[in-house]
Amino acid sequence: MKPTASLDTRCYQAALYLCPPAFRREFSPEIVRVFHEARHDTQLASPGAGLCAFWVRMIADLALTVVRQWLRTAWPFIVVISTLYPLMAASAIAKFWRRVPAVRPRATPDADVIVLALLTAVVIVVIAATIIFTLWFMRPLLYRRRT
Amino acid sequence: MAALTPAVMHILLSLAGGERHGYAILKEVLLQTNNQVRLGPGTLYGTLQRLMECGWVDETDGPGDESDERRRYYRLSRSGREALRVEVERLEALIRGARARGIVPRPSRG
Repeated sequence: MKPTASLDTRCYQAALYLCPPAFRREFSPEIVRVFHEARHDTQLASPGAGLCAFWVRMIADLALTVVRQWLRTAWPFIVVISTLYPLMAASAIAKFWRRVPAVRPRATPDADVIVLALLTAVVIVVIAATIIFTLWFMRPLLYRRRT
Repeated sequence: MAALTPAVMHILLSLAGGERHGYAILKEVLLQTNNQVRLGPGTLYGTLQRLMECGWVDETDGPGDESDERRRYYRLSRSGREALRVEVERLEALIRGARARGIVPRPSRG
């Protein structure tokens, strides 16, 4: 039996692309097969209302699975850190800028100040990139610890 | 050990009867619960993934000649059986406590 026979099985299979790639690669064929078999049995047992209830259950189950599986990856943590870090850095720079008037550029911007600002930006980007890449490569470790 | 989730409990119980593939697990859960619990495929495989990571469930080649090579079969490991036993004992103690408080009637003997 080929699980991609019907249109709704294909739709379900396409919706599985919302799941994290690792989970999808591991279980997608089996999930589609179970979906296909369950749909077939439901159609035989109660084609009308039963099939509607079946679809409601499948959509709810898929939504929960997508959320649960993404939460199991380190992605939510990475997104929070990579959002918070530049915001905090920008806020700290803004505070520093307001408190130290001597650093403010004159009417005609000083080349040294521009270079300093660029260097600061580069350092911030490098630190942020290091954090993001470290978290990315630590994903298997974080994942193992959680289980 | 923390209490098992209903999905974990039902899957472990269904595998206690022998190795099964995904759809057979779903059907066994339906049978065990008198059609009350219908696990979705996402929940089933998400839970199986966690159980395999815990070492409570192993993937097998299937039960000999009857097995379909395209399917993946699962069985309860020794630690999974032990976890299930501990959970059943916890639930038994809970029910004993409920009976002692008159919440559920004591089973009639004879």
